[in-house]
Amino acid sequence: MKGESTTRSGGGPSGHGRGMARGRPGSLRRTGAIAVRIITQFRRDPRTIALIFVAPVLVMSLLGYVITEKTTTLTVAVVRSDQGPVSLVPVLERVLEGKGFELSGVRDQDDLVARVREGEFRAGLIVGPGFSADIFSGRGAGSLRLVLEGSDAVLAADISRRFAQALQELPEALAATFLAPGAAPPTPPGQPVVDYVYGGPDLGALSYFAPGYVAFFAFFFTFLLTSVSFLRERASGTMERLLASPVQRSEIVVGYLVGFGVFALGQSLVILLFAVYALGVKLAGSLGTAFVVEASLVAVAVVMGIFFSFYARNELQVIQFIPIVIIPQIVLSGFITPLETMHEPLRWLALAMPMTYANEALRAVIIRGLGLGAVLPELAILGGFIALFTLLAARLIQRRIA
Amino acid sequence: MTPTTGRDDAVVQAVGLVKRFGSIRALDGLTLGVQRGEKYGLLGPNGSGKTTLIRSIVGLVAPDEGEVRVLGEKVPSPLTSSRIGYMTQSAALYEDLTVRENLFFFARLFGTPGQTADRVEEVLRLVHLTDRSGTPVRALSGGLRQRASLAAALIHEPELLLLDEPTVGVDPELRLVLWDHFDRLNALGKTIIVSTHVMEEAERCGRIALLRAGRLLAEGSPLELKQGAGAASMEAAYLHYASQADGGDGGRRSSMTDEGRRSSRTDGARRSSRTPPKGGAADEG
Repeated sequence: MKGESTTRSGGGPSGHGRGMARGRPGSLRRTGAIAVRIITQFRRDPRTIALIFVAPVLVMSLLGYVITEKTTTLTVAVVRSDQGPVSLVPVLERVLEGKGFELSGVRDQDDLVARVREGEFRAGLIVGPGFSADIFSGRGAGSLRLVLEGSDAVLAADISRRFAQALQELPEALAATFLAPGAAPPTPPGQPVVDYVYGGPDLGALSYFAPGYVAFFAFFFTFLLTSVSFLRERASGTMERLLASPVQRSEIVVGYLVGFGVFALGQSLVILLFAVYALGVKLAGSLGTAFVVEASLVAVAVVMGIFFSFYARNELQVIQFIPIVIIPQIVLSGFITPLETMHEPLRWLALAMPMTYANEALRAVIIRGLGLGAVLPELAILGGFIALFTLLAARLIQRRIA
Repeated sequence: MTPTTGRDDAVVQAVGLVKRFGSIRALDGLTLGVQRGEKYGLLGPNGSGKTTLIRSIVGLVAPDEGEVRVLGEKVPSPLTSSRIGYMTQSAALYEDLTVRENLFFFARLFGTPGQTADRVEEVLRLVHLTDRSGTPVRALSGGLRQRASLAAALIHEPELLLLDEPTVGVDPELRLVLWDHFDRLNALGKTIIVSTHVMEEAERCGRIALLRAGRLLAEGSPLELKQGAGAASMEAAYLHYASQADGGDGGRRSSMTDEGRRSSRTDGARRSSRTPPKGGAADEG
């Protein structure tokens, strides 16, 4: 018999179901017993079932929703210095509005650039004096200047794309307004001049995404490490011993914060230094400021790790937090898609996540080169997260164990 | 309420403790008192409420009804936690740290009388672990681990020691060593409350509470309990009181347990361990 020589594992090339059953009496029964046992165990573990079936759908729909959402209105500053003879600017603006831009007039070019630099507008449009004349005479869109804020590469690319589409549609709109029906529309005017306030096309993709990467890695590892350690403290019974001592619950959380903080800070420094000196990420601001932001984020990761560890019974359940705690933060923090183009409810959700503020602050430091003063609001919010989760975790220690 | 006398001698007074976990009553109207210098055993099978009782004395469990006083203070109180040494069921030490590092850690948490380093060495000597003090806990055998755990419970020189099944999983020889330690600590004046489900172990205690399903079946010295049951072994005595409690099933809660509760409180307060065991006496009488 061929199957007789098949080894016990049944994992040989010929060892699929039928062969196994024939080869060793009872093999199918035993294999089946193991399979049935695993299925029964799964049925007793609703969290894992939820993880397998619900989490991918949740994460994918979040991602899909975030990425396809491009129709939100974006306010763009505009300087109108067109000198005719017949102004085509109203037609241009109508086409731009159709592409989801809302135009807000500003005083002059300097005012526009200054306000984009300060972050009031993500983009500005300067309509040069010769715009209408150029279009009429077929000289193209050279007198249009698009000023992009540029620290968010995804958003900048999105604005450029929508703007190019608008210019493609401009001839038809002009024809509909000025020419007799049936007349051939003029040729599209080509591309405008594009300027970047920060970054720009010569800044590599890595540098653009560096703030997000740096925030993500620091958060991810610190969160998992703290969760597992704190879980062990509970599982091994040492937490019981701590609670029988005069130690205060908040002292436990803050003690963890400091202990893990030392290593998390070291890790943050390694991540930042590696990004800048090994990967060649362009750091426009100071390393010290970036480090302060990073440090605040890992502190949030420590206290969040402690908080969430109370909802896990073992290490596997800590891993289950990845799609629930980590991935939504990556998707919504502005790392992948700019907050500006998100749907309202998602944006509110994003604003409830610490990574959003870390990402924003790191972008300000790394790409825009701003100093500590400019990121103080974000740092204050991260500080608020630290305080909030410290309190929540301390309360849980009381409730879950006592 | 019977007024309690000799309160200064009562180290632990638990009155009418009820603790529910879902539909299970882990403690079901438990009353007992432990006097200064006693070696008091809690004997009962798993699920009889031993651990819940110990945890409510430490202050880790808030009873649904009744109250616990330790050294006159209502639990939980920051005053009592520094006067209780609690040895949990598992060794509950940090595996990566050495024995000495573990002891230093708990010494700093509790605060020690005198120099911390001196106290750590003293406790290590007390449990005969000085030569293994540099070993990581993960490398220790079960018996050594329990001794290290005992050392951690002793570090702040507590007056009251609560030992929750300290000999579980320890081989018989080391079990005897552990009990010798307990005897010595008791001789040094520490009040000890120790839970076990091993009948012979319980006989090394001055007084024993027989527990079942969160209730006190009987209480007294090992000899009294055995005599009261007319039994030769502790096991037979336990079964006797257990079946006696089952026998009067209908009136059990109202008569026997209540009787046991009341008498144990007054008796405990008077510290007269010479009276016949309560549970049995109440029913026989």
